Amino acid sequence: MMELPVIHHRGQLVDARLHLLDRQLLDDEDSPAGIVDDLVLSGVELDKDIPEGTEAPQLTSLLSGHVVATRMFGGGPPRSRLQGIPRSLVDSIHVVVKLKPTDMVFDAGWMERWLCDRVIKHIPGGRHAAE
Amino acid sequence: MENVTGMLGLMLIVFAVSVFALHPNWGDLVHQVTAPAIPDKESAATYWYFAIALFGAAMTPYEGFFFSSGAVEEHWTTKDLGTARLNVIVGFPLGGLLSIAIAACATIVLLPSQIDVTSLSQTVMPVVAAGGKLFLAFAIVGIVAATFGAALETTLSGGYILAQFLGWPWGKFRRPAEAARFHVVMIVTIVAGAAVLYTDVDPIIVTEYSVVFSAIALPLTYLPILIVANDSEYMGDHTNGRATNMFASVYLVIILVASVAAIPLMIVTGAGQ
Repeated sequence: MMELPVIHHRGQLVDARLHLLDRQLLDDEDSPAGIVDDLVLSGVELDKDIPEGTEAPQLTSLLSGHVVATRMFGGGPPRSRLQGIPRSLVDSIHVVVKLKPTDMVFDAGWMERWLCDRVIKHIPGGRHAAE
Repeated sequence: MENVTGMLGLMLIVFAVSVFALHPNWGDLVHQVTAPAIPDKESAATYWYFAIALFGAAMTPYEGFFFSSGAVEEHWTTKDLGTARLNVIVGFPLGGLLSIAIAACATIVLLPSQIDVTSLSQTVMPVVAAGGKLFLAFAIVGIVAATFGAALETTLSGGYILAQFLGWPWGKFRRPAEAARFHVVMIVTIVAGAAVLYTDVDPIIVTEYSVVFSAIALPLTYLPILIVANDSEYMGDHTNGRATNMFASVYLVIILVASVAAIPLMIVTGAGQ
């Protein structure tokens, strides 16, 4: 069997597709804040060749939003529909991506707010503390 | 809540008691199990079709979501592995035993009279024959608890599956207002389920189709769980060992065969008709 080259590196080696995309985002209180739907890399432009000797691109932020429809039917949502979460907010990348405490409001989307305000809050017990 | 339905569901043990109370000819019963006779008007395909339906009913994919989500909701850690194992090692065989008892009851009382079970109420007839009103009362409480519990389980599972796939806040440990979409999905599931009942469709046929389709979908939940069970990033010290993987692979083959065979058998047998 061919030996695979061992690349030594500092810190944690993360495979974007394996460890980041589709991972659950949890805020500092372990509440779901979304799913990692896309990544923003610095220094890479779409459809342009990268000249040799360029510095490696860096991950600047994670993107999260509503992507199910475009995944099924093709294409991608416009960038404005995805919320960017700067890399500095990422606390740890494990089986879930944990975020640091922040004042940033995670845009759970109009649907969550609308359903909460118009439906769930009006149901008896809708605002009660859970078991 | 689930504990109440679970405890009351235990009353279904009355079916097992009935098997003994009916004083069956045990030799005959064993013979029917080891050498099943397929009625003239049915083929072996029908037999296997219903075998897959039973298999699907015992291993419905949503159970995986239900139990794992429940573990997250109740903040389980590796310390609770014992409880999880107990659920599997005691709970599942007990459920299987009760299913066998119900089938045995039907075989002892209904089969000789050529009674074809077309509704849930007919399944309790052997219990009445065995123990009269008292047994019937136990059976009714057990059946109400079991169906109510199953309705809770499936409804919650629907919410869990969608919310977790899409990254929504979910769970019984949050105020409903903090997990609005999750709770709306459950409300819609209940309304849709009730709406199906209000059409004139035969609930037994709906159940049959749904359990066969769960057998078809089973590899889609079993395989990812098997892959995660082999991922030390998730499992740490509890990653699957060789022996577990060997059994798991054998089981994967069984599940695949059932899944692949289900649709052809459904077509050949006209869904068991």
